[in-house]
Amino acid sequence: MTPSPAPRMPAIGLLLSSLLIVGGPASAQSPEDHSTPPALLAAACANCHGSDGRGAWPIASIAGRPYTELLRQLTAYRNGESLDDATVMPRLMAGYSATEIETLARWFSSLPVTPETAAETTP
Amino acid sequence: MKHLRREQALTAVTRERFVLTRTVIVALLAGVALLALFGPADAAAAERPWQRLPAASALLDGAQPTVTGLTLELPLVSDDGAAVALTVAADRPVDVIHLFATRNPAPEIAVFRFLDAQVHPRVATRVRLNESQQVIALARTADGHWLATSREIRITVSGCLARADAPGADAEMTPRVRAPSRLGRGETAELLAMITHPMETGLREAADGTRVTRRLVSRFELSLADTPLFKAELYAAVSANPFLRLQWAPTTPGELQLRWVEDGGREALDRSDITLR
Amino acid sequence: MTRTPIDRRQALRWLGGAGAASLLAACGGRAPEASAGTGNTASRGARVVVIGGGFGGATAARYLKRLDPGLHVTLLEPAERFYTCPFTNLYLGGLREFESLGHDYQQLRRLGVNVVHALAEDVDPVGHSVTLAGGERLPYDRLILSPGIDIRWDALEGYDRAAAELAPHAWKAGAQTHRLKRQLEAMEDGGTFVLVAPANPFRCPPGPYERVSQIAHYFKTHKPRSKILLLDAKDAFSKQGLFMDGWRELYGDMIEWVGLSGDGRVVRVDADRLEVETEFGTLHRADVLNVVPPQRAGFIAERAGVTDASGWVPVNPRDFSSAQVEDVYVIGDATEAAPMPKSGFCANAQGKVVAFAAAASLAGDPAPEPVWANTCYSVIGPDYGITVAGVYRVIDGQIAEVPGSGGVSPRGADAGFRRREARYAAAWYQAICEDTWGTVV
Ligand SMILES: Cc1cc2nc3c(=O)[nH]c(=O)nc-3n(C[C@H](O)[C@H](O)[C@H](O)COP(=O)(O)OP(=O)(O)OC[C@H]3O[C@@H](n4cnc5c(N)ncnc54)[C@H](O)[C@@H]3O)c2cc1C
Repeated sequence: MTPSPAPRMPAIGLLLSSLLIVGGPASAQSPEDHSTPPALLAAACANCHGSDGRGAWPIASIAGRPYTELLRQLTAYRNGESLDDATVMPRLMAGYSATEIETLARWFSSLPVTPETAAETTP
Repeated sequence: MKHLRREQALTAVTRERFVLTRTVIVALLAGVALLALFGPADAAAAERPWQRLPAASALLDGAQPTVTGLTLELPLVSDDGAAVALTVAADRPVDVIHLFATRNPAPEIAVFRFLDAQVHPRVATRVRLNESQQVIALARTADGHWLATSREIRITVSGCLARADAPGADAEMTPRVRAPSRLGRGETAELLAMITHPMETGLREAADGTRVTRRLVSRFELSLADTPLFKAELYAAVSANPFLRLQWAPTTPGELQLRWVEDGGREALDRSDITLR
Repeated sequence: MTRTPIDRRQALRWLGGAGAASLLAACGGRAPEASAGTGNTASRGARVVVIGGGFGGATAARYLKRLDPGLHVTLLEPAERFYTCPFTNLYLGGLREFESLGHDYQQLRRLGVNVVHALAEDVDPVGHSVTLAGGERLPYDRLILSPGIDIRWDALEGYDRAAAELAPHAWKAGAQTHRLKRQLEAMEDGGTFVLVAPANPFRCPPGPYERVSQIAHYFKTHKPRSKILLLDAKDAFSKQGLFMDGWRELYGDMIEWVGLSGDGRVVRVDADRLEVETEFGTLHRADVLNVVPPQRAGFIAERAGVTDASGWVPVNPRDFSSAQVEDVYVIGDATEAAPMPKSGFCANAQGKVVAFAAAASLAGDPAPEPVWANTCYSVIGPDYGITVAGVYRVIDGQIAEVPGSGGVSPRGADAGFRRREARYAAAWYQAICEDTWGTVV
């Protein structure tokens, strides 16, 4: 992947701006692309796959899965193929652009497979 | 179907601590700008949907309608464009009410003719609205004066294709009526009428890709003791299983007749006796 | 109130942990340090008050805190334990324990959300404050409302609070749900269960149909001679074809559905006699009567001045800010967000969009471009699940389903497909509860 230059942001909350910057390649706009920040894009998946991409069986855990594997699978869904045991995934992925699917694959592949620290679960 | 309650809206907006949002202010400013550009008369004219819709303006034929006295009740948003509850009412006697939809495949919805003062000018029905649009009502009084009103409605799912589960052909043209059999002379009551019918628009495709022939219950007539009270002309924008709720105050007892006529000529008749105390 | 200090590390975790930090460098060409340090300066210390600790509100509070730990987030919710409506139907069907549907606010507290168990009684949008039932006033910079629904007690003749003790709605989880369950258990085999379903819009469009499915399952296993009558104010309902196929396959002719044009609209309830009257005057008697009445946004929405004549809340599609009052966001069932349904899934999805929008707004930035997804699972029998899914975006200034996406499970799918969707439903429940309250079921 060729990194694209960070888009220039107006003064913006630092965390938010970094969210937008993570989307560097995604925000190299093609006509069908939307500028949804990757973290917000990925948050839509959390509803079934958990906040950090670790789904409960039999919904797939997607955190830390190889980028190419996620990309291949999500793209197949987007093309209407019902891989494995999927039921809703083709219907959902049909609503995303190819670039967004790349962003999602990159996002989830970068998440740790198991909780990294227990920051949220221990006081 | 419950109708919107305007009082609620008013209490919400008249709360002293209610704040105008920027959008509202911008809209107001834009309104002022429009006035400045076109002058009050033009700006007002630009707002009148019945002047823009040819079917409605042809009917008015240059007449300037009064914009008070006629009300349309519709939800602001409907999830189901196949059956949107609509009530139209006039605050004075009228001869006829016409209903139009500005962005349906054909603008006509229905025409209601009030033939006798025993039926009040207040009718509820269910209509098909293809997309977000304006619904227009025009009413003419006995002396030829026009009343007009319109309402904006947002449709989130298109309703123009008939339902998969249409009534079986044998169940078609079965009427259902609810009328009080006994009531006081001149007492106001409701009269409900519904008939099973698919109201085929002629726009729907069958499974084999061919057009389903247009077939409508296009006329409804109501009489009491041989006196015609009310007539309706119904178009494709009236929902399947046409439904009418009227308000009436019968003054003579006798046989109540409701008649529905399909455009091919098929008829259904419902008779009952009305006694008055 | 104790608040756990949240460090920058945790903030980065939200960005996707170490992976995201390196991604940041790779894609942005900028070292993570550039974005660290003081954190979100513009919004530092800003106060966000969230009313309602259900699907929308808890999600918004949780994501705000994960997004910007420097924010002061207060969540107002009277209940110390929230019971979800989702899966109460499975409880009625005997497939689920009621306690498994309860969630507390411990994880949100650990994240630093100030959870206050109180009812918000009033909102002063000019003075930017919320008044609690005890009279205390809470100032806010941004207010998020997710109060869910209230029953319209004046909308259906004969159906008031007293009637609901005899003919429960069970449309909010808790005492009402238990009441209905007890009535079903006390009913004799051969009795008739009548459910009255409202016109659109209402909470959970597939809910009444999942409910009769689950009650049919309970009858089939315990009271097989019983009947179910569903009287409906609509001619079409969510996943209709799939539900009807499932009913036939699993329950034969136990369930009868009467729609609007079959005179299914109920206009009067006589709770003492467990009798209902339809529009055209037909009387139906029940042994157990469940009335799902017309609804509107939770009362606090009207007090805040955000509702319109319909009793629901119009919002600006892009960020779910109120179309009527500034610095107030509204999410969940209370809103007019059609074509997005009033589901827990959507409330959760809207909660995230609002967390991002409110954080951006506090930093003086525009709300990011939103996207929402929804999957409504309905469990017709233990091994029989169906879904309707959708992806929504702002198209031409309005919320719209992305063309070509979404839709319902295929008609005529095999038993394996239905079984998988039932299994996924259970896993979905676990995931969304984790994503909303941080709880692990
Ligand atoms: C039988 C049934 C089955 C369902 N099944 C599903 C399903 O399978 N999947 C799905 O996605 N959805 C389902 N739903 C829908 C789901 O329950 C709602 O869409 C969801 O709860 C909406 O979230 P919300 O945040 O808007 O409201 P809620 O989750 O109801 O939360 C509102 C909260 O606000 C609190 N509150 C209200 N007013 C105040 C106030 N003034 N001050 C403080 N707190 C206040 C309330 O106590 C409540 O806890 C179902 C609903 C029903 C009834």
